[in-house]
Amino acid sequence: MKLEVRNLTKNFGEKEVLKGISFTAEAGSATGLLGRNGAGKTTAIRMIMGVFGGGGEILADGAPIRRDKINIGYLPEERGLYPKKPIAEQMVYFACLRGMKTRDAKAAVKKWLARLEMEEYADKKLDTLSKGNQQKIQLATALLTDPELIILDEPFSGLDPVNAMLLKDVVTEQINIGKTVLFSSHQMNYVEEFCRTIAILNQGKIVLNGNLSEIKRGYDRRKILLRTQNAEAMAAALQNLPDGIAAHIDTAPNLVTVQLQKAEDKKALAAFLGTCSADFDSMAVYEPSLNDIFVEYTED
Amino acid sequence: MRHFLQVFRFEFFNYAKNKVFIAITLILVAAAGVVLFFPQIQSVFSAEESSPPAQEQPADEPTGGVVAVSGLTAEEMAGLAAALTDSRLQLSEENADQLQAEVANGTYEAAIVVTGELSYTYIAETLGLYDMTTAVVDEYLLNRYRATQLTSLGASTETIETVLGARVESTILQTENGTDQMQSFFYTYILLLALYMAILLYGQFVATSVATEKSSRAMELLITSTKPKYLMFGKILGTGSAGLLQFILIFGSCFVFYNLNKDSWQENEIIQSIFNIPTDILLYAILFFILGYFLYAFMYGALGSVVSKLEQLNLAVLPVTFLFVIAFTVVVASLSSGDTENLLIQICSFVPFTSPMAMFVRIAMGSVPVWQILLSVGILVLSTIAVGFAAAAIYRAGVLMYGKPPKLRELVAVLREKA
Repeated sequence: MKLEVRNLTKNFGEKEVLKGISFTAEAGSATGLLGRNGAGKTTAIRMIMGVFGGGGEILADGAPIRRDKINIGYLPEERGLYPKKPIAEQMVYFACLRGMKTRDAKAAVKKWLARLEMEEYADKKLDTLSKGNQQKIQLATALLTDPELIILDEPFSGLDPVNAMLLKDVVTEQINIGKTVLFSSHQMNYVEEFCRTIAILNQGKIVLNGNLSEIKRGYDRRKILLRTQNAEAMAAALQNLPDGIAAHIDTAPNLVTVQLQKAEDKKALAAFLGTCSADFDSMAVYEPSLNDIFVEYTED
Repeated sequence: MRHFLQVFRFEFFNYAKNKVFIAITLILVAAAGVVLFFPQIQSVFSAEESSPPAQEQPADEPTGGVVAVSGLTAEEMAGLAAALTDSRLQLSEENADQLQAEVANGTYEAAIVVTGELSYTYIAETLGLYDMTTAVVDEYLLNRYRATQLTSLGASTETIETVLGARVESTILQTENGTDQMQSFFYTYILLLALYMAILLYGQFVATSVATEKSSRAMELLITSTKPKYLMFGKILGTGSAGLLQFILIFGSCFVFYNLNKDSWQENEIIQSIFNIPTDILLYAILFFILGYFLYAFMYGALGSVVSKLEQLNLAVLPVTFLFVIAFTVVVASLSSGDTENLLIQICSFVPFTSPMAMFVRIAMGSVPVWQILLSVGILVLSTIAVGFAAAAIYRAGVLMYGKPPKLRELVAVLREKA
């Protein structure tokens, strides 16, 4: 299923929280909605879920979304289940509310508790579990109905690295079987690992949107990183570079950064390094990490 | 509809499977059992105790304290003692002041100082609520006076006895629609109390349950899983059914226990009148429970949805609870005064927030024209539907409002927006 969000706007009283945001999430891929705290991620997701109205269009496969017809799995940002109810019982309840037959719901609960290694807690009350384990239950609840659209609001917050890995595996599985996954996060390392497209939200506006590797490629490739044991020697050697290649040279411990005048000059630089006496460990074109991109676009 | 049933089932079993709920029901059923089986239980114990011959205390020995009597002859005092069976009378020569001192220091429990043919002073430390002594003495002195006067007119002893012993025989005939208030008072009172408790208790259950879902944030998942109207109606009906079931179990077991012990209770008019509830009154009680419960549960549900934390709930529901308690007070005051047709209760019986209790009491305690009952129920049904719609809209808007409880103005704005 293809989810399209067009020109969403939302005001809370005087405050304009969303100022017309648009993005698309495709089937078989994960789309990351990124933004700092208060950027409007949760508001956008809640609008998609129909929790509240606002301006703009939300389309599923080109038609206005029918939330009662489409099977959506939702992990809300404010985690919430019944703290005093046995886990399996309330999972079955939520699955039934979303249209499953009781028997199928029970089977799905069993399956997902097993998949997330939580079987032993089936009859425990939710509030006896640790925060990370409660979150796994919440994720399992979102996936019970085998939804075609999976919306996860900050799924990684509060998970330890092992559980984060488990979650990542589960989400990757879902992507591989063709589900549409939309999730929000401000933890860039996780997003970078399995997000194909991203939309960066800042102060209610989309400031960057598109395919992550294309975005990265879009950065000019004139910055060359040279890793070396002796940065000063390398910097000194680079003074002999033929004119017109380097625009600027920076030195840091074990690293020399060469800003080329033209990206194509990297071969000339490589050729020069072959002749020069200074030693180096690696030479690479600088690609920004998602973290760098994020900071660049969302800094005040 | 399936969603509604899911919510209904979940909410119903939320109570029906709750250990505390089950325990309270069982305890109340057991308590009813103990009370209604009491004569049987008592007879088992007293049979054991009285098996050794009980000789020490003759059955008719008065149980009360010693009461001093002055100003009567010994013969007259014997006559008075025959009427005052609860006290031990003792003739005294002392005057009122001395006797007062002796009552004060505890020598006597009380003192009766006859000062003339038709006058006396009664001295007692505490005047008990059910102290009938003065009434008995009044009657005795009056008869003594009448006897003296009749004797002076030349009547024979037999004539005097016939005259003084004469009793009026009365037969009471009631028209078909009327109610014997003496008969109906106790069951009306009990059913009114049950109505009051049930509506208040289960209404507040609804408020707490909504507020809990909100504060635990389960609400967001709930309203994205199904429609708020199913959630609200399912919850209210589920809670109400669990409540009704609880009351039916408790009251039903009372009836069963009573019928098992019917013979033992034949002399107790109060108990008998309680269990002689006419079926139509019982049906009215259920009707007004259902309508009143819905009306208040809607309001409680809406209020539960506007608070963000459970701690704020008590304050938020206060106005509704107050309204209901005032309604109850008005109705109970009228019921206790015996005048269940005063203007206030008549008005209250048409105002939807008070009519479940007010109209019920009017029906149970008197004869209310059918059109008035229909009008009252009609108003109640319509207002319940109206409140239901408003509550559903507030619920829909309120469930996701966190932070400060919204002001009335903001709620109205939300309602307008929805409409």
